[in-house]
Amino acid sequence: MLQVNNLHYTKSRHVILRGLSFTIPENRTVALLGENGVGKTTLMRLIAGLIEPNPHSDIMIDGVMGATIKSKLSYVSTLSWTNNYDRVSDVVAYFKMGYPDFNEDRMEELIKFMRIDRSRRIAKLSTGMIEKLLIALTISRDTSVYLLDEPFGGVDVLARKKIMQSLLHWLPEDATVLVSTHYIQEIESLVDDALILKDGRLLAYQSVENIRQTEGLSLEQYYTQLYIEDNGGRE
Amino acid sequence: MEFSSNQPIYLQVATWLEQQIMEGTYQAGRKIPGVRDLAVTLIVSTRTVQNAINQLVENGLVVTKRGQGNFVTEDPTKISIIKADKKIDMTKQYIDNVIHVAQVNEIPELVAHAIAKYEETQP
Repeated sequence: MLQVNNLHYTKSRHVILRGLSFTIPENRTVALLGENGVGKTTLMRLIAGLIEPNPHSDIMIDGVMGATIKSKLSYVSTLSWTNNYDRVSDVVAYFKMGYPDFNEDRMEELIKFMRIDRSRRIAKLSTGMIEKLLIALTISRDTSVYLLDEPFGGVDVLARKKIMQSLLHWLPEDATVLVSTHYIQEIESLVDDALILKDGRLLAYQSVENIRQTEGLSLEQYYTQLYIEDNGGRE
Repeated sequence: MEFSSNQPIYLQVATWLEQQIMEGTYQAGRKIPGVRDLAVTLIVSTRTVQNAINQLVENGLVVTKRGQGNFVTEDPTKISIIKADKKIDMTKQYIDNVIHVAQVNEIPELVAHAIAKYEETQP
């Protein structure tokens, strides 16, 4: 379970997040939506403990807050920390060493499923392959919360399908998953809820089936409508 | 799987599963694939698949056996009832679409036509 309470974040006097509060229970996958620059990545980095929120902001996973939170979540947003000569197998070895909760068997299955070449140098991987590797590394850890930041960015339709299928197949059943994306239509059938940000605020937190059932709208239609309404009717 | 925008996804998955049973892809008395496998195949959440299966359990088309999974009913009348329901639904839908342009004396003919049209779509 992921609880965020009164989360404020200001960076060089710019207010990025203004008092976000939400709770995502376990066994739930949530889409994090919002236009570019709205603070989706910032929110993930705050949850992951990579940056510090303003005082009086609370982030809790399974009732725990502070530094120990890091062992309860999995977030791999970049491979820029690797060396030029590192190969895929080296990165897997780093993870095995660094994380006691790293599930090697799962990683093996994912490498096979995504057809990742373990002997390849990281520097030589295509954008699509990097995304696949990031996803595989992220979901190969056994944690409560998984944060996936734009896992379909710059990735072709077949790779997107593979990534979606890996999430459905290998994510632990009771996991709490937050996935940011601009591919609203494609992610809709995959997620339980949508968390919509605008201007650093939480515009809505709704279940996708609820949106369809009560509003008769697809997630993308609902998202667009909310944004336009919030703009006072302007697109 | 492509989803229409105005209907809950679990109902669309339920309809798809029903179709598989009607067409005999999943045969009477046989086990249907596991929830996670269906989720991966259809690229929908496991919760959605479970909700869809619950629908079919409710209308008697699918039976859940504890610890074994989900099975298509062995009762052929259940399947034929669903088939008949579908026939009525589709006929009604067709008639709804044309009734406002039809003359009263054409209606029996329309009904017959709707049924024939439905039969055509069946394997």
